[in-house]
Amino acid sequence: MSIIAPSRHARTVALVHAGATVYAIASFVFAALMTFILFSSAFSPDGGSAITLPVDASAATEVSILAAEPETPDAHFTQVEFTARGLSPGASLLYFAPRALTPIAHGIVALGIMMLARNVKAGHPFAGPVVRAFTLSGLTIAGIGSANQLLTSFGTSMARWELLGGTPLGGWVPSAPFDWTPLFIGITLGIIAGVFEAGRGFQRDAAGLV
Amino acid sequence: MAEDEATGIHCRLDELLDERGMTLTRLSEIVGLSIVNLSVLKNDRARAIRFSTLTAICAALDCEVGDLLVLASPTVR
Repeated sequence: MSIIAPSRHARTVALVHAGATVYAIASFVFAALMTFILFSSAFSPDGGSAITLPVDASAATEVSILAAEPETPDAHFTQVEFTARGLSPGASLLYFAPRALTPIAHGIVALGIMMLARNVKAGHPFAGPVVRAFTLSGLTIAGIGSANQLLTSFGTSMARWELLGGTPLGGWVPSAPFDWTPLFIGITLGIIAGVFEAGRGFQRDAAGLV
Repeated sequence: MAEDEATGIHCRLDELLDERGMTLTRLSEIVGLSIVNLSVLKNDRARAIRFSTLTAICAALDCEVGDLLVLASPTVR
């Protein structure tokens, strides 16, 4: 038994399919570009990238190593942004890795949406590839979402130690609390994959029914 | 569904339509079942049939269930 979608719905599904395909391709191309930039910056001896580091709320005093001057005497810094030169490859990779991982995650999820739209168009929404796409999307969001937070935290700590250590801005700053949202979204997508797997069974049982 | 999956049941829809001079399209309009599904039934590719479908087809063709569905011959199986 196949499910025939009405024409307006079919046009919407076709549009979603096309949009998701384009977005997936663009995401993977962007991820490849960011990976290239990441590695070339990390291992380039003279290279440097803009980096933003949190600092303890400091009085606006001049910090000679950063050549930073306060604009008003009552201002306070909570973060500094500058071009980091001399950052070790390890710290650079840890800090900038999320910029490459995030578009990869976007691409994988877009591929999952594309797979679902294609199968809905074909009248087989509960096909095996759709279940696998949902499972992979859930794992991707949970995994990359959590990994990005850990990488950013470690990368920021290492960069602060390397670049701000020994300066008035090098004091201890608490790291951001762990955001559980990606894990919850990943679990939800996993449950949806289970629902689609059950739907596959129903579709199989109803095959050939008139 | 695989073509070589034999259900052991033969649907005599073709024979009954010929006897009554009715087309599949006309039967589809009367019964309210798509031509695709009637074709599946006609070519013995159906694996299950709703009682409502059976009742509607028999009413349209003025026949009994046993006229429409028969056991397939051993050579067909």
